Amino acid sequence: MDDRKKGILFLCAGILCFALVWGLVRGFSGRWPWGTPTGVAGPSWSIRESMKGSPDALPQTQTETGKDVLRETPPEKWVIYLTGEVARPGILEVAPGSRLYEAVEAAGGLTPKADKNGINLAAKLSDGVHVHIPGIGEVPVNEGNAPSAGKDTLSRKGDPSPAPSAPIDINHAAAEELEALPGIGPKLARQIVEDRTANGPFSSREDLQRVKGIGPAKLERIKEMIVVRP
Amino acid sequence: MNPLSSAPFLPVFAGWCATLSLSSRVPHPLAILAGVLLSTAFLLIGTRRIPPGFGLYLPLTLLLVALPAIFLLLRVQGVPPESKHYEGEATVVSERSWGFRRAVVLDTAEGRTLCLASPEKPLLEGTELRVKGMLVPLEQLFPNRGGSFNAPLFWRGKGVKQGFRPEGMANSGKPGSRLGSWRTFLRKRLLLCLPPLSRGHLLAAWTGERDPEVADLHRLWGTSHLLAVSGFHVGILAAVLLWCLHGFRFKLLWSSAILWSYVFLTGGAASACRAMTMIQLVLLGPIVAGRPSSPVNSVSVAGGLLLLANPWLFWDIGWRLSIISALVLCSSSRVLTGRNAVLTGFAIWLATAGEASRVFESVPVAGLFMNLLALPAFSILLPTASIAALPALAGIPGGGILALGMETVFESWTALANAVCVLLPWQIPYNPLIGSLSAGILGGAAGLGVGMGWKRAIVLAVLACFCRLLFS
Repeated sequence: MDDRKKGILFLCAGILCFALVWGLVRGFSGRWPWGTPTGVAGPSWSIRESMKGSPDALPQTQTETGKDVLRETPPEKWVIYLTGEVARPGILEVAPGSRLYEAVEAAGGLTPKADKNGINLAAKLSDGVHVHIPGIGEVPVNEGNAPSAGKDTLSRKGDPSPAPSAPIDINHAAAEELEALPGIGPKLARQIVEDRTANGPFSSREDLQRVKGIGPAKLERIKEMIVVRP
Repeated sequence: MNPLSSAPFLPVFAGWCATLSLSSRVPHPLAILAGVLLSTAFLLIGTRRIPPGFGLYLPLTLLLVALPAIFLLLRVQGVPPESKHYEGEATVVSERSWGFRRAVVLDTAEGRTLCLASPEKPLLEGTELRVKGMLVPLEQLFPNRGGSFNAPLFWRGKGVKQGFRPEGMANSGKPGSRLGSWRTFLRKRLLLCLPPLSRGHLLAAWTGERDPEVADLHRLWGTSHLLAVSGFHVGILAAVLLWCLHGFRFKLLWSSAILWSYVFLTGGAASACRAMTMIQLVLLGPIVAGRPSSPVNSVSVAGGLLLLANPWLFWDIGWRLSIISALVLCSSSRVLTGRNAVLTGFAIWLATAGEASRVFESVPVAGLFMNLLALPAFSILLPTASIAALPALAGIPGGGILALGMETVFESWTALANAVCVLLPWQIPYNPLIGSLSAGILGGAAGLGVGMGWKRAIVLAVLACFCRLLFS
């Protein structure tokens, strides 16, 4: 075989390697055969994004009109990130509709240092939340402070409004609650409420884009802070 | 020409980056496999004629991808330190504003820790403290507030291991670290002796700190990178030094020592360390290897060494933009010569636009043209302003006149830049297509940089485009 043919063969083999990588990433993205990694948050945004992008999250259903639409169905298990004064902090799987005490039990219970009066063990959980169990005397040091890193390297700019601590259900939240989301003012919050009253509840987070004034960029900013419940 | 002969470390470095990038999406063994496969792809696509020994060098290179990649992943995903009590001495390494507080990095016997302190506390760089409190994981210091900003990741990129909740802090009375004290002294003089625009620019160039007002202006113009000490600054100083020390004995030794001192004086930012490592490799290449080091290979080695020292840098936007810019600059210098060299600025802007807009939400269109003007202008303005500021900083009577003269020049530049921004007021928001285009430019530039020719570089660019689009 001459050099030219070998070169073309190498080129094809190289393209094949790219295709293999693509197949690996598509096939195994967010799937952890040895259990989800716990103990380290690491680059948490990527983990969340890969779970969010999993094809399992959006099964196809048939509507009465026969058209295929994507509808978000409740996941079989909720994934919770539990940190602070519990025996085994990390990422946990709990049954949908669980309360905080169930997640704490799944994490091996509270440590002796946990501030039992500072938490509501009966609080309702939702999929994807981060719950921190404070220790006795622990003060949430960064409460109310939007980091000024907004003017620096990794941060996103120009959003002084603090993010809500728990995800907001866009199908049931009042306009005032929606205003807590970054980039959502009173007018836009009112439009969201009017839209869901007129057109029915949102079937997925992406569905929020049907409201005029919410585009892909704005949705991306608030995606992690909202949930869609029936 | 093929990647193994022109820039042998580039495929290795690309493999490490791919592994780290995919480590949060797929199980780690697969992330390493993907890194190895991407390196193989790069090598195979880049090889038009099989050189002698290819069968030996290819597996060796792939081994060089896989083994350090395991080390990098082990470091990134290692078990975080447990909360425990700490009492002992600490040195303030750096401090900056953080919301209504100051974020203070302390050097302790347990490694670098981060403390969020009241702004009223006089915790200046170089101060020696006696502290007691709790060492906690960084995640405990920053409750999850949603959004894309990951504060623990940001601080890990700065070398911080864990958080610190102080119960008591007192000045130990010992003399502070010399470097920290120098930086504090320099900052005070710059703030007290110079007019606003001059002090903003020199504060950035001399200490690596940003004046909020000047930083806002540069963000509007799309030239924020000029305020981060990077290859631009180190390169200017290196050029000046090599010119001044021409004919001196031990020229390389002196210039290397002065350049490293400058990098540490400015806070040792990732971009500055990358640039300095690269310059060092270029300077030492003829002595150690008997031939000049390839610039593309030097960028890869510098980036790889920094990753081995601190793998968290992979998520540092400064490190990323610095590597991308340097890689595109070095690669395009092989093909864009003469009048075409002006296209290098466009290529760098396009290659960094995806990453910059992902982090900052958008990039100003004005930046595309401003950079063409700003880079040559500031390569003259910064050294001139530095010299003009010396009499004022030294407190020489009448020394402020020179500084005022430079202030007028900076004001004129501001007026010009603002006018360009009025003419080009648009911002390009982040979208997957711009990210994909940037990846394509970077892939194509890397291909040209290792001499694989236009056709194969275009194939690589298209594949990089698709990968970015499909993986995002």
